[in-house]
Amino acid sequence: MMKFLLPFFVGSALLLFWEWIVGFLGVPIFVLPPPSQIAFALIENFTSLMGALIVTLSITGFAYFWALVGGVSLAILFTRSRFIEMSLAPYVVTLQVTPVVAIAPLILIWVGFENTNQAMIIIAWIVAFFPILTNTLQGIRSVDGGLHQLLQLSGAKWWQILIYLELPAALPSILTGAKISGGLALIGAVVAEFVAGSGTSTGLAWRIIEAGNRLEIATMFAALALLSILGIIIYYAHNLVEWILLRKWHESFN
Amino acid sequence: MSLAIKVNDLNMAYADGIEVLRGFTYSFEAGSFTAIVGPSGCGKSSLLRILAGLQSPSSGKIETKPDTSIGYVFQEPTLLAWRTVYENVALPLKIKGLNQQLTHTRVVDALALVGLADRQHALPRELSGGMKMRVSLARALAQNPDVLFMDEPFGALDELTRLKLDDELLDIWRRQKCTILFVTHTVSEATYLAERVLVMSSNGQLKDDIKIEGNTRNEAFRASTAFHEARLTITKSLEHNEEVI
Ligand SMILES: Nc1ncnc2c1ncn2[C@@H]1O[C@H](COP(=O)(O)OP(=O)(O)OP(=O)(O)O)[C@@H](O)[C@H]1O
Ligand SMILES: [Mg+2]
Repeated sequence: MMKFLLPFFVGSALLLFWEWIVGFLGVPIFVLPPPSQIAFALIENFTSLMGALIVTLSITGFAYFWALVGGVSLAILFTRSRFIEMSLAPYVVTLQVTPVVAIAPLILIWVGFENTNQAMIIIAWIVAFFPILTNTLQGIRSVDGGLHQLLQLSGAKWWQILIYLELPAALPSILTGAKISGGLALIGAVVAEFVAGSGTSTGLAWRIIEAGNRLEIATMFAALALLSILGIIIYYAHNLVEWILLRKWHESFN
Repeated sequence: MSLAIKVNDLNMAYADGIEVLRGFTYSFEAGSFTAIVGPSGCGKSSLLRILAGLQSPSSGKIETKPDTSIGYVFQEPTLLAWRTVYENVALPLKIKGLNQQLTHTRVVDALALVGLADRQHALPRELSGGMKMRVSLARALAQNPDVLFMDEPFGALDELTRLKLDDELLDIWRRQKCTILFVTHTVSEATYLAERVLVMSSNGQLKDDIKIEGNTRNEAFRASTAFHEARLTITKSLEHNEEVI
């Protein structure tokens, strides 16, 4: 209970202080609006902000989904064959270390400006996919040797070893990777919207830019708050899934 | 007596030049209980893995009867943490494609044999160390093994639990008539359990093959002179080994 009450009180106190200090010092509304104004802007623009939220959420969701599928599949492929890993790993790393903002315009051009949504999903995917890959790899590789030998003795095929041993054993690592990727997919979506620019994107990040240009700082803060809430929900959704899947058997839930 | 495993001139050297087996030659009779003792690092686990086919030797020949089914109990319980006791014991059978019904009977029987019939639905982490080891034993037994390999299975357990499991193992062995190869560090355990004790030297050679006389494995045997003499013989064989180095 304290876990929820404490942050709640801290947050409320901070908001009250913010409201008071802005009025007390007479800070102009286009520099730092008080929380009440932000709440008001949120209510006033509720439908359009919700629309923007759904756009950003769908980019994030698709990027995350494909990061999960791609990362886990690639990790499985890499652990089946050293040959494939040696051939592909350098390119995966290259993709990871090249700043995504630098490749983003290229992706937009290649995918075509009539398909900006797909381009944005790809950009967010690039940002999100690496942690899943590395965590799954690490999870599969650290499977206990004795367990491997045990399945080997029973004459298990590679796919039986995969589904009975490697994937379940790697599940905690995969979920850790997924948690990081979930956050990164959101960041990727925001970056993608920034790069795609106004007019083409209609998500929350674009709303932030647009509101900034019009000096509607309260609306800007409202969009920002929605982004934060989205990030928080993604994070705790992962904790919930971890709890559901691992609580019975994993040491981290003792 | 027919042979379960015939080993001829087995040699094993690891990539970094460590030689663990030199000219190991031995015939394991079907239905026999053989203990293997030797200093740490002499290659007992390697021998077991090679005989079970988990690892190939550098050279040498191993003959087994065709269609020999193998059970293996590792030093650690090696259970899948996310599977219940029942599911752990059933997994090798499932992989081998046994039908559900037969699997069920075998699993239930094996768990009853090791005294864990009432813990079928428990997860490994809800069990004590000795119970986990028994699940591991049940998993090996459920496969109706012709040959049962055991690599220091009870090494991590306290004395009392180990003595109890030793007796359970003997019961099982008498009933199932499987061939058992049992690696242990404990000389008295080897003496108590086995019909023959193989002593390995630290350079990976088979040094002695000691037959244990007096076939009743019970408390009386533990107190008998035959037991103590056999134990002394094995200990001497091991000690002499240390002097040589
Ligand atoms: N996979 C491996 N690669 C390289 N060397 C190995 C490998 N496995 C074992 N060895 C080496 O072979 C030697 C024998 O190992 P092994 O595990 O067979 O000994 P052991 O008799 O079972 O010892 P212990 O009683 O301590 O379990 C050791 O020196 C070990 O370092
Ligand atoms: Mg060993």
